[in-house]
Amino acid sequence: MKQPKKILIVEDEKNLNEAYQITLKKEGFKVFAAYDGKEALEITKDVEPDLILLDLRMPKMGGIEFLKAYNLSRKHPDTKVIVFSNLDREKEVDEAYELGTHKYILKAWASPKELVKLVRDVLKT
Amino acid sequence: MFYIDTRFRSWLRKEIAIGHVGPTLIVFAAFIGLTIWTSIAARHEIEENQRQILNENLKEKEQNLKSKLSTYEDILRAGKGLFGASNENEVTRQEWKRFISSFELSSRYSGVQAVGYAQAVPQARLQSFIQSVRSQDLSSYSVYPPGTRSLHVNILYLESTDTESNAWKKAIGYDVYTNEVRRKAMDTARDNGEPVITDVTSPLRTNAKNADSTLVMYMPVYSGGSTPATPGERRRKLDGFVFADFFTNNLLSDEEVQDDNFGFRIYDGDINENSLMYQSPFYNDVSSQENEVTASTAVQVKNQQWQIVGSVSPDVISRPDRARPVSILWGGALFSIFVAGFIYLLLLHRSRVTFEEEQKELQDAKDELLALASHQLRTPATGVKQYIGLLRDGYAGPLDREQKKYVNKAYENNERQLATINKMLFVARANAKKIELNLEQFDIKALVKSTLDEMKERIKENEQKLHISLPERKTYIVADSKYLRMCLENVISNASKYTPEKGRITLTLKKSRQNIIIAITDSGVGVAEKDYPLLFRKFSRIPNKLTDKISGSGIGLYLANKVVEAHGGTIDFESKLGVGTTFTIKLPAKQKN
Repeated sequence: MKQPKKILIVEDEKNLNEAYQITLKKEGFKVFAAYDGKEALEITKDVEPDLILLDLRMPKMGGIEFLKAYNLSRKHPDTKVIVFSNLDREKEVDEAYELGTHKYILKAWASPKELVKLVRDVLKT
Repeated sequence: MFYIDTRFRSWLRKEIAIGHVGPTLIVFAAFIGLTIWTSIAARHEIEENQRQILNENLKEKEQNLKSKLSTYEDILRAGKGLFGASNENEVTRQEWKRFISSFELSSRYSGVQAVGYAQAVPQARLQSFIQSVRSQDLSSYSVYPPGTRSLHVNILYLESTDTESNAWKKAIGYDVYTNEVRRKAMDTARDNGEPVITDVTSPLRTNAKNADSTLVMYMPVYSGGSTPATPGERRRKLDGFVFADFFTNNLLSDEEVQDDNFGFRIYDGDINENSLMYQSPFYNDVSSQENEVTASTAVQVKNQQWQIVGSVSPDVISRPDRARPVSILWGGALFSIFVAGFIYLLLLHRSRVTFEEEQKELQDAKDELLALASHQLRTPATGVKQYIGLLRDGYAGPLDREQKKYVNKAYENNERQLATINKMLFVARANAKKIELNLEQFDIKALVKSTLDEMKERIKENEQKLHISLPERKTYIVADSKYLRMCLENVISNASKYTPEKGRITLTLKKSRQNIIIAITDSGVGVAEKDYPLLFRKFSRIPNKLTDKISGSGIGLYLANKVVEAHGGTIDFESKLGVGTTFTIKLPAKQKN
C-alpha cells in the first residue's frame, strides 16, 4: 500500500486550518498543522512533508520568513509548496515563487473540492 | 481647472457668499475708491490750473484797467494844466478843440467818449456868464435845466469821439451839477483836490442806448492854477472841472477780451445784478460752460472800488490734461474689475484645491474603512465556505435531496457574500490605485466556459436561455485570470439580472489579430441614452422596472471596467431601451510591459 502523502498546513486562522485538516484527512492524506512559521519550522525538524500549504500573513513568523529559513530549493527539493494569497496580491507572492513556491491559491476562492484538486495536481508534478 | 461640477457647486453655494464674493467686493471697492479719489484729485488739479490761469489774467486786467484810467487822468491833468497855463484860466473854445484833438482820442484812447470842461458858476454870476459865452464864441449858448440854485456847473466845452458828434452838441450848456451822481463826485473832487470817478450814471448824449452806462472822471480846476491847501479854499477858488466821460462798455478794450476762453464782468462795488457795469462778449458763453472756473479781484481806482469777475473755460487746459480725470476713471474701473476678477478666480481656485484635497481625504478615509471592514468580513466568510463546502462535497457523509438543496443554497449565498466583499475590497484598492495584476498565459476559452458553468444555475433559475459561441481551438491570453473571471462574472451577472424571465443571453468569444473580444448580449430592459454616463460609475444603479427586484451593490460594472482598463483594454456597450444591451470587452492578447 502506498504511503499516504504528508501535508503540512501552515495557517494562523484556526477555523480555516481545521477545515483544511478535515478535508485532507478525509481524502486520505497525513496531515500536520502549524499556526505560524515558527511552529512550522519546529515540525519540519522531525517531518519531511510532501506538500506544504503555506499562508503568507501570519504572526510571529510569516510565510516568507519561513521559506527563507526552510531553504526549500537546497534542503528540500522534493517538497512542494502551495501558498495562500488574497486578491490583494502583494509582491510577497512573487517573492514566494522566487523562493521555490509552485502554486498559489486564493483563500477565498477555494472550496474543499478545489483545494483537493489543486493538491493532487501539484503532487503529481 | 475651473470646471464646476454639481458637487463642487453645492459646496460652493455655501462658501460663496462669504468666502469669495466678500473679499472680491472689498478689493473691488478699495480699488474703485482709489480710482475715484485719484480722478477727483486730477479734477481738482485741473481746476487749480484753471484758477491760476484766470487769476493771472485777472491781475493783468486789473493792471490794464488801472493804467487805462491813469491815462485818462493824465489827459485831464493836461487839461487842467492848460487852464492853469493860460492867462486867468481863460481857454477859448478853439484852443480846447485843438488841445483835445492833439490827443487823437479815437485812435489812442478809444474808451473815452468825450472830454470836456464845465464851468462852476454861482447863481449871482449866471447871467453874466451866459452873456459872456454868447458874445465870445457861441451865440446860441444857453444853460439848462432852468432854475435857481446856489451853484451851477455848466458844460462849456465838449469834444467827443463819437462819430455822431451832433448827439453831444446838446450837452453843451447842461448843468451837470443837477445830476446827483455827478455832483457827488464833483464835490468830492473839489474838496480833495484830486480827480474822482462817478458811480454809474446816464450819458450826456441824446438817444443813448443804455441808461446807466457812463462813468465820468472829474478833475477840479482852481483859479490860480495850483490846488489850494484846504477844502474851504478849494471851494472858494473852484473854477470848474475838466472831465472825461467813458462808457462802461469800454472799460476793457476789445483786444483785451478777444480770447473766447475768458469772460469778464466788472461790478461797481458788491457783486450783484444791480451793480453790473461791464460784461465781456464771451462772458455768458464761458460762464455757462461745465467745469468753468470763476474768480474775482477787487480793484481800487481812485475813489472807486470795483470787482472784476473772471470766468475761464476748461478749454484753456490742454485736451489731454482735461481728459485725465475721465481716463483715470475708465482705466481705474477696468483695472479694478481685472484685479477683482483675478482675486475672485484666485479664491475660486484655492477653494477648488481645498475642496479637492478635502474630497480626497474623505475618499481615502472611506476607502480605508471599506478595506478594513471587508478584510474583517472576509475571514469568517471564508471559514463558512470551507465548512459548508465540506458538507456539500460529501465529506460529512452523503446528503439527501433536501439536505443537498439547502446546503447548496447556503453555499451559493455565501459565495455571493464573498464576491461582494471582494468587490468592495477591489473598489477600495482601485481608488488607491493598488491593483496589481498577476499576469500569466492561459486559455481564456476555458475560463469563459468555467465561469459560465458556475453561473448556469442562476441563469436557469431565471428561465433565461444562454447561447454560447466559442472558437474551436484554445485561445491564449496573457492576463490575470482571477480578475478576468471576476470581470466576466460581473458582466454576465448584470446581463442576467436585468433581463426578464425567459429572456436570452448570448456570449461570443473571438480572437482578432491583436485582441480578444468577448461580447455579451442580453434581451433585457436596456439603458436610456441619458443614463449612459452612470453605467460604469461606482455605486450607481440605473432605475428601471427590474431594479427594485434586484439586489446589487452597483459596483459590478465599475469593477469590470477597472479590470479591463488595468489590462489596457476597453469595454463598450450598445443599448436600446426595451430591446437589450450588448457589452463588448476588448482585451489585448499580449500585454506590453
